[in-house]
Amino acid sequence: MKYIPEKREIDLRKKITNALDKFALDFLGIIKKHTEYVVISGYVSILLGRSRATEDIDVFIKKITKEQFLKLYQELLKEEFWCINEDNGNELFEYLGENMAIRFCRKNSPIPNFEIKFPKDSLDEKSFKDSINVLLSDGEIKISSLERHIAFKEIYLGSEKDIEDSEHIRELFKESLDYEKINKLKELVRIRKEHERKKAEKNFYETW
Amino acid sequence: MKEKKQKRIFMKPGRTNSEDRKNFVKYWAHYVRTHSDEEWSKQQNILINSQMQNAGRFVKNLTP
Repeated sequence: MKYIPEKREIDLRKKITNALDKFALDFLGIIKKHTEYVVISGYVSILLGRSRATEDIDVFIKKITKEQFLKLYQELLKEEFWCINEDNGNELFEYLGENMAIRFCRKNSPIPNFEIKFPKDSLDEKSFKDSINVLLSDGEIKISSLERHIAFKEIYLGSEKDIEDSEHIRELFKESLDYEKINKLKELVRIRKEHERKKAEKNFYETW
Repeated sequence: MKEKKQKRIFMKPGRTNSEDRKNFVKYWAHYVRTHSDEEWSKQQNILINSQMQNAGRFVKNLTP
């Protein structure tokens, strides 16, 4: 695996593509015709060799208009992808607008599925620019930067599985990671998490 | 020609399940770093492709 930080590129053209990579390439091939995307979370570690499977692949897509989304949705349907949440495109767009994720799978196969969402703040927005292209033998996949991936896994998500996903990346790329960037991002993620916790607490007491 | 012998790396067993898992994650990441993409992906694909096959079979069994 060859990582060239200056080029923001990881060369994995010798990797033998698996069924999950093929599923990702098929789905993202449609997405990128309509908007920008960046793959985040667990599949980033899996694509880079982590020894585990997953039921879903998380992806941010850049905010688009309803018309653009409906075109994207029509093409997904044409290519035999289904949405698990709803079949009405207008309602799906509303879910996205309310910062909810929607899931797409292959017709009649709920596993694996793609979880797509709009970025909810500037921290999420920045993952589009702060991304890396992974070259595979039959296509390319855009993932969030390794430093951003580690910061979110360790601070925002934080389950045992997330810590292990992060540990895999830390060990694999220990010679090329930007540790200062990881610490800065961890601080930003910590602030966001605290802000969300306070907001949820306030909402809880207001409801009572 | 003499075959190049690769030095084996051993994994330290963990005192708890969680520590043991963490040690394996490090051991495997080291394996990925020191082996060709073709070699590690062949092993990873056994795990991933079988999950995909099982998911497909599960859905087929659910369908009347």
